[in-house]
Amino acid sequence: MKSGRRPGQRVLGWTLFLVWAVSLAGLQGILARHAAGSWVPDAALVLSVVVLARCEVGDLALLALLTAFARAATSGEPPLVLFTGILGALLAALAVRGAFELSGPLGRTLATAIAAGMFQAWISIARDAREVNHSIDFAAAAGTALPVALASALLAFALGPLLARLPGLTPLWSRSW
Amino acid sequence: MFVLAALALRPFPPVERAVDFVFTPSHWAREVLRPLGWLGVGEVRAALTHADEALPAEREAARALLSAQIEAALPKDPALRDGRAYLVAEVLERDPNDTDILRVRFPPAAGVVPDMPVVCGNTYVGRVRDVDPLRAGEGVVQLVTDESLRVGAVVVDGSAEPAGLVVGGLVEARARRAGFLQLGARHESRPVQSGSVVVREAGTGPRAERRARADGFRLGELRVLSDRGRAVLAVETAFDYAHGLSAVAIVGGPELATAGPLYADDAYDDAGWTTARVGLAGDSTPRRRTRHLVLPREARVEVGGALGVGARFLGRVVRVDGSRAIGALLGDPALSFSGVAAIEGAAAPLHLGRLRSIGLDGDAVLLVWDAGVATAGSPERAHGPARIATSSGDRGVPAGLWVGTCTVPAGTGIHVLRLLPAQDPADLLRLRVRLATSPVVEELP
Repeated sequence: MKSGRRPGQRVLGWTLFLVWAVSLAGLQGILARHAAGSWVPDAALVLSVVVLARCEVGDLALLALLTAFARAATSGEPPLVLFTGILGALLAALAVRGAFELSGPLGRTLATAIAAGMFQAWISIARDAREVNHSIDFAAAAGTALPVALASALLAFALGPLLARLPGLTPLWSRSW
Repeated sequence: MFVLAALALRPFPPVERAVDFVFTPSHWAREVLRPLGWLGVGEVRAALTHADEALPAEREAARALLSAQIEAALPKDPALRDGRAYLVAEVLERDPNDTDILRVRFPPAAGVVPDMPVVCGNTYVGRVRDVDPLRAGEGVVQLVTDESLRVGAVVVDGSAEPAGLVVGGLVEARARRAGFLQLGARHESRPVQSGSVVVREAGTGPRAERRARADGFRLGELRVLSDRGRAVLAVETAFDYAHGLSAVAIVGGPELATAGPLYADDAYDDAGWTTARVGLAGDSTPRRRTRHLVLPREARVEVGGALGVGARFLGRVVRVDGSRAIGALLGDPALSFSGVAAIEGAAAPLHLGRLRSIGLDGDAVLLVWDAGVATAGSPERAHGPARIATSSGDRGVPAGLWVGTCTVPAGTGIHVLRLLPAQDPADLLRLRVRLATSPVVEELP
């Protein structure tokens, strides 16, 4: 038991994380329906980075899987693309955790910007790569990623501490928390 | 991580299926979110009522448009109509690996057989290569631009003895230069330098007789090109084989059945549609406009099938997994379809060819349109305010569904059309999905 909590508590914690992530992804989908949707933050990924700041490193794969579940419920992208992208984005955020304190404003804003930008760019690149007779448009991928990265970073900066206090997430925190 | 990334970029079906299976519980999570879509239900109901009320008028307008398109596929020259029967076939799709091959659909019992010529207006297009034994009423047409097709022709240059030619394929490397195609040609009789080239098939026997029904149809103008000091014979054609084909006419004798509905596949036949429930009226990936669809269990839907409401086109199915599917709506970057424009003041509809959706600009959907190259010698293309409808060329998308309105610009090259959709699909919680057409015959007769 990595975090010193009972398994039942952790299962409940991860279940509630999934519920929150699905709800945030759904809200994100509703907000992104119209043209201004490019600036809608990747709220489910912001929540993942907030959780990553406090959970054990060994929980990263499960965190990525559950976030991908939430996104798959609300997105037309293939689940494998979502899981790979989220895993890569969270690994990048983990690398930032080595240099900055992710629960602090600078660390979480920076890590979220990198993770959300990377994930969004990955989605665009994967879509181009999977299409027959279609070349990958890296410039377009960067153009799509930038607004999402900025909006997500802003959300993480402003509401990160609030997201960390969502009911039911405490069993996921590592011993140091 | 690198293996996962490679599999995500270059999908390997067994792995993809396994991951999809692992993600099955995400379907249940989506159901929990469904009430979020009820937020705009009042507006949606009003929009659907409007679409239902407009259906009869929009259906009639679409049928008039299709009728004009079909008329444009038939020859205008009375001499070409005499003694021949014409069956209008709808272009279903192009072979993605060979753009010189078309798949067409016609009434199943019409009597179409291989070697029948295929024309569009007064222009020779190619010939029927195969009739599909597995899909009733479908066949493969080989265009004259295909390397392996050869057609007998003569040069009309005013002399008493016509000069024979064999035409087919494209002149290598320079074929699509200068705004028109250059078909390959070689002399069969006396050499000539210029003149109009029309089909004149030679030979005896039933195959040759069938092919000879194309005699008199236009191929283009004869030219002698210079290629590094070497004279190369070519037939220049202004016909737009890449974009201009949505309906073609198959030429036959009196035995060819020509009666029937507008097209073999009627967009307004309710039996061709099923109703799907939208899982969540939104997509959490920015700039994507996809929807998870829940289909009736018995419905057979295929990738590429149209999504609609009333007489209006909303998008296409991009993935199917049993009774669940994912649809790409207007504005989604994964959506493309064939379009036709009814331009204000223009006598004939303009077949636009492929339209690719690239996103939204306010309420408008941005569509990329390749207007092709300048067609030398042909009249200026119509332009101006237009209503856009779906056209033939995509399996699963019937011709004649209204997409929206936009201004069709003048000039050639790539354009971005700003289309105001006939129906904004963003908030819909139910929509119609086109059922798979032409079920595959289980056993060969």
